[in-house]
Amino acid sequence: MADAGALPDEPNSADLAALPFEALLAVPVVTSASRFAQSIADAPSAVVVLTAADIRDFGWRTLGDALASLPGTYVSYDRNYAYLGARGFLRPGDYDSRFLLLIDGYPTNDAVYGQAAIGTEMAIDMDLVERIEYVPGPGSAVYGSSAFFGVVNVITKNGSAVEGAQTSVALGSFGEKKARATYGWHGQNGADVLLSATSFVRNGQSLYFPEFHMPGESDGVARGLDYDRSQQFLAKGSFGGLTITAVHSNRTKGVPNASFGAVFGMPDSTTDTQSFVNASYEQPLSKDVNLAAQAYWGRWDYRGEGFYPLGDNPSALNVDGAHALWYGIGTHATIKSLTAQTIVIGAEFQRNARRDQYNYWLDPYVSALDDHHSSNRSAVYVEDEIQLPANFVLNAGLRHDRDSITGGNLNPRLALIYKATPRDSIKLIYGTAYRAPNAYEMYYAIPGDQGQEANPRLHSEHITTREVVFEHRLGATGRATMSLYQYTLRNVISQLTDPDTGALVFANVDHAAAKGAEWAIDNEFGHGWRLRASYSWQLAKDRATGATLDNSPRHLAKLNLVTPLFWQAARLGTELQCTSARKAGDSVAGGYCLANLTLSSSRLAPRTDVALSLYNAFNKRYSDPAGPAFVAPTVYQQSRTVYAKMTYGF
Amino acid sequence: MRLIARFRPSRSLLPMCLVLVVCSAAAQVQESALKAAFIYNFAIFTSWPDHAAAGPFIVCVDAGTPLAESLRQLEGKRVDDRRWKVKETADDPRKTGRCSIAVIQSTATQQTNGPVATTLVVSDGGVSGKNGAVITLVNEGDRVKFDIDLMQAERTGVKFSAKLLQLARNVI
Repeated sequence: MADAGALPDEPNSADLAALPFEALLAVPVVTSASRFAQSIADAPSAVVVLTAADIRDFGWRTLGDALASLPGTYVSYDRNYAYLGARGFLRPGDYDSRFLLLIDGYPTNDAVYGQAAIGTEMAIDMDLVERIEYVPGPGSAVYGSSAFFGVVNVITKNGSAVEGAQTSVALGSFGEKKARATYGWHGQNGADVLLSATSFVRNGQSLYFPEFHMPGESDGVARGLDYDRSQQFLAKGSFGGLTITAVHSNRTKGVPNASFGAVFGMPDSTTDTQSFVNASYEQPLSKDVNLAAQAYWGRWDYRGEGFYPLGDNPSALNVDGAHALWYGIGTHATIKSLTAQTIVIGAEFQRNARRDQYNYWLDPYVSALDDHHSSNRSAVYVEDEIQLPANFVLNAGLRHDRDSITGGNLNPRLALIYKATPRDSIKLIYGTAYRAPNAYEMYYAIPGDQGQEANPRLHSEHITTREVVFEHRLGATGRATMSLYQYTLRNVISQLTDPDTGALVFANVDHAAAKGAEWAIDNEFGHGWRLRASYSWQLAKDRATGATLDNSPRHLAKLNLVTPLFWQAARLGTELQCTSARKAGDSVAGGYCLANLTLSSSRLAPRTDVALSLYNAFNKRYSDPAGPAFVAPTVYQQSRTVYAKMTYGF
Repeated sequence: MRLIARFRPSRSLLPMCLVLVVCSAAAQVQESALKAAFIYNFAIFTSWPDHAAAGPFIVCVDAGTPLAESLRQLEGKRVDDRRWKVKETADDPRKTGRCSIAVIQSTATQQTNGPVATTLVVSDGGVSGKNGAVITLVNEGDRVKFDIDLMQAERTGVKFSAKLLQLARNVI
């Protein structure tokens, strides 16, 4: 052991080779943030991969925190749900339904709202995420509906990444507490088990809303309504090529800002309960053919309880909810038997067995909506990557989806990649995508002149994109990227007022266009320094009026830097995010810069990870555009918070 | 080595005490240096058929990679009585003759004409059982682990010590 004790600060391979082999298995390495750089160069998109190391180093508590660090993306929060925007598109008031969110390949977007859960409503704990793959741009040629602006693929950890029992506790500002217990096991035959349970609560804070401040009636302060509570359970087992994942989660969020015309200051909350079971199987059929199959079952129940004015009653309890239930199967084969070609052929079927919505008044009981629908969708797709002469690669994809309600959709994608040098590649990408109207947009109906009308005749909205990406590899793992793009959206589903009835109704009325440029760099500088930075310029406009879209920042600048401290004993993760001003109806959400700092160490005590985070370190006051459901045009965002976390492995 | 002698190398105990030792040195370990040390240990705990166990111990690797540099730092060491020698190549390392070990990257195309006899192919990443390698180095979190594909090993003719098999994450 004398050898090990005498290890120099930065041991070379000869120093390490002198250690017993068992010892090497326990040596932590400086992990590379972009280990997938090589395959990324071939991908028909400007793919970004975030790893468990990034999640740890920057103290990201939700998927939205992680996604907000990507080039060209931004996340809005209305103190209930979080919404992801990209390349200048994030319309306030829409559900988060234009990104497809996959967890280990399972499509999480629910069958009623099509919502991708990226806030605390997400079904799994961020501590269990091994990596996040973000594929920007339209993905319908491979993934079908909802893959409109991009695909987010979350890959969970295996039991072998935990090896034994692990507990984690965290405490933060405004009564935030989180506890997690995880057990991981891995057998040499490849059998693997991961079990985990998480409990989270945040009391939240009293918030002042000037729009509800009416002297003599209300002081405009919402007390005890900003709470957030969740439980998350995950069980995962793999053996051979088979992996089965089961997830259950339940989140309740208090709504402090009286959205949708609720009575201010009264109890108001939403509860989202999600469950799924996903089985995936992979089997090589021959040397050149690999077969993958998947079967899943999922449900998402939503229930909102709040007080609203009803006739003479100034505050009556109303319950609004949905039951979504879906299951499906999919299979694809990857064929490499032809020279210089990789072909993927696949087929999918999904049954949306329940797309039910309800709304009722409790006392006296009056049903305002009890709607039951179901639908099927099936798809076939093919993708071919062809290595052409002179360092050209052609990536072509085509998918046909058939929805039993909204009909067929054919989506092509074409990417030509030119590897100018071993370090430089240029990608020309043409892509298309669609989003089928969700059940809320089609069927939600509440009578009355302030009500909403159904529109079952809605059809899909479409996007066509053209993009050129220049990529330059830096060192062994780094890269610099520049991207220029042009997006065109057609028949976007928007809410408007029916001139005949005065009620709100959804229709395929909007057309929009965006152009923009993105510069991004991702590199390591030895000694544990890691840098990811990006700047985006984007201009998204309504094609009919020429007006800039709401919640569409012209500039986004981001920096994520990991700095080693105290001779590698600790790490400082510095995150800076700047967003320029955004239009919010007739108002404006001002531009801002935000700093988040996380100091962490795995070496303070054996088998223990500790982290201390300061979010919104300079206590910047800023707001996000709110959408039509809110009285104020913007929603005030979180002030400075402190968060301490300790993880211990047994 | 006393710790190891005294305690049975139980999976739970051993990493703990060794982590402490390494931790106290506050060492920053580069991935390539650690992987090179792994590959050196693969050599130590593997035996080659007699006819392939003479002359220098040649390790073939893609030229110019950090891993090649780290493997080169081991020159001067010996595997049994054979001198450790690194051969950096611009072509596929598997196609370079007389390699005892060939190190390929996860992006290397799968060998179409079967494994190279008497060459232990080690893949840096990729999926064991699919990448055609005998041993696959895997990053999991901030640790390096390895998987062994016994079927590929049999076709190559190399034999592993029980210890190597015991320390592998997966043996397929």
